[in-house]
Amino acid sequence: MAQRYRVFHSLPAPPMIDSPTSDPPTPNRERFVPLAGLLAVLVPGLGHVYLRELWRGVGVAVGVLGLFFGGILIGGIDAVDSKEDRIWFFVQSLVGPVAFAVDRYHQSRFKAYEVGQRQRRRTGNPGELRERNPQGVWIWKQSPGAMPPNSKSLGHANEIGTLAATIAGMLNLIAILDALFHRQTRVEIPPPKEPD
Amino acid sequence: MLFPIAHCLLPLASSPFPIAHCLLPIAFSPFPHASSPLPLASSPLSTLAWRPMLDPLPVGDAWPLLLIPLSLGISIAYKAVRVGSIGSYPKAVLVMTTQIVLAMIAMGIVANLFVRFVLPAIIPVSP
Repeated sequence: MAQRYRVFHSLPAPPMIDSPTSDPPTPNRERFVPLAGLLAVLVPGLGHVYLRELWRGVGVAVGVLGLFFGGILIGGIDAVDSKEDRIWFFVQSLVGPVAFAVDRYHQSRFKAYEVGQRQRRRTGNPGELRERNPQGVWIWKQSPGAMPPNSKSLGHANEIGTLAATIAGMLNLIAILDALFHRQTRVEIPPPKEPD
Repeated sequence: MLFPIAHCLLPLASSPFPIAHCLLPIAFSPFPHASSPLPLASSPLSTLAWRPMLDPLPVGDAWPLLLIPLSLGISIAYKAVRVGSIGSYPKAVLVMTTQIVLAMIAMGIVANLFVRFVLPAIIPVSP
């Protein structure tokens, strides 16, 4: 036992990079932190803030939310659409509740049915006005010169906007897993030394 | 829509000067096919009518420039998880952003060469 104790303490201490004020040098092992994972799912970066890695959480939040809302800025709100771009939305939803909120807002405030059809809600075309019919259903009404509340996203802007919001979801998955299986220290590979 | 990266690369591949087509169409282009004089908008009216977050950005022919903020966002989020200390974070973000942009430009050049020289050799196209 004493031998084992001596061997353990003869090992080099792991590098304490993130929390140099921690008292005992803990081995560089993964910890399973379900609450951090849950918080990371709810708000990008919040899991790392909970783990007292503020700058890491801020970086994740800026990167993920910047990509998500940057994608909406580029492609319009049509870049997040669970009905017409379902497979893309599966990955975008990894950003968290904010993705569902944006999609819900998009579906409820910007789409309507064609007159006489109840199969599919769609984005309005130029010259259409969104109106509620006597049954309380939102429909598109022809109105020359009218602008719908948003424009259908097409072409490169739609592709890059959708891609940016989707990559945001992928990156947040990495951040969620990193918070869930947390390593307190991360070993950086030092640059090779130049010969003297 | 299903293959956005391929869609982004296709105009590069069909351009004889992919880098110039991507990065130099701001003021004017020496190549007649390259871009319109106003790359950020097809017309001033379309810019005036643009409603942020509701309408797609009227990027016109300057859409490859969107690669830079896209790469920057990816690097910010990924390196926040990856690097060991905040001291090395900004440099790691800049390096990764540059690597992504250069890699995409290189892929555009390779795709361009493939479409212009390799494909015609494999499948001759009659005029």
